[in-house]
Amino acid sequence: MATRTIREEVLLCLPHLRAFARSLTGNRDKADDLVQDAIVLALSAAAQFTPGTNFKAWIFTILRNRYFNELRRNKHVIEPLEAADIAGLATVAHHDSGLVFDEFRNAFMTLAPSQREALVLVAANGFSYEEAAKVCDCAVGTIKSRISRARRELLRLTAEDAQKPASQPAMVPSPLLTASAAGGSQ
Amino acid sequence: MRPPAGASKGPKRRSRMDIQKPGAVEVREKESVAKDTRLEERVLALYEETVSEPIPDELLKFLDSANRKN
Repeated sequence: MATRTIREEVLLCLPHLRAFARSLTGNRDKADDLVQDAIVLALSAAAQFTPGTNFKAWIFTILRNRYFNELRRNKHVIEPLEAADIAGLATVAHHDSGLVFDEFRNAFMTLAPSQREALVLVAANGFSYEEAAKVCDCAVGTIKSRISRARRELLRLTAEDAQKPASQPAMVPSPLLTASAAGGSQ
Repeated sequence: MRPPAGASKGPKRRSRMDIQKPGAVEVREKESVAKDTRLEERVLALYEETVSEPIPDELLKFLDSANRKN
């Protein structure tokens, strides 16, 4: 079987890279910038990739390391909320399925980035706990506990949203502010 | 007047475990698994929403340009 070039591998992973980056940043433009950074880093480190191994896990590791390094570097920078972010974060809690899904999205974005990534790697990408732990450079038990905490928090947040009166907007803090406060920890 | 030590204070209150119906633990476990499954389905739907978006041309051009440089 012919091995794919790095470009072909990246191309196949692009939709997933964008979705993973979006789940970390919560913002389309920042996610695409992060994907571009990951592409440059992956192409320049292509020699370090062992053909036949899991390329997706390899490039996901590059992307998340880049994201958390930037987060640490800008720990004390509080970015102003952009209009698009505000529009995406404030929603009126009507119980129409689309809006319920928006509430879930907002609840998801209030989780610590490390919890979001664990959930996305395992629940959305089908990574095993071991693979996710390798991507996140942590113990398997840490991934399990992040997922467990993320589930509990999501259940709590979505239950709270369901109890709010229809006129009350379900505002949640910016993922960037949450990320800074959490410091990228568990 | 205080009752003497060790005297019975009426019927002992039963704990939650005592009054659980048979199979209650299994029912709660099933509910919990169902909630987790629903949650994970929503995470997957949120993720798939972006995966199914068309890749912006800008990003494809960027990939080709970065690939040429390497």
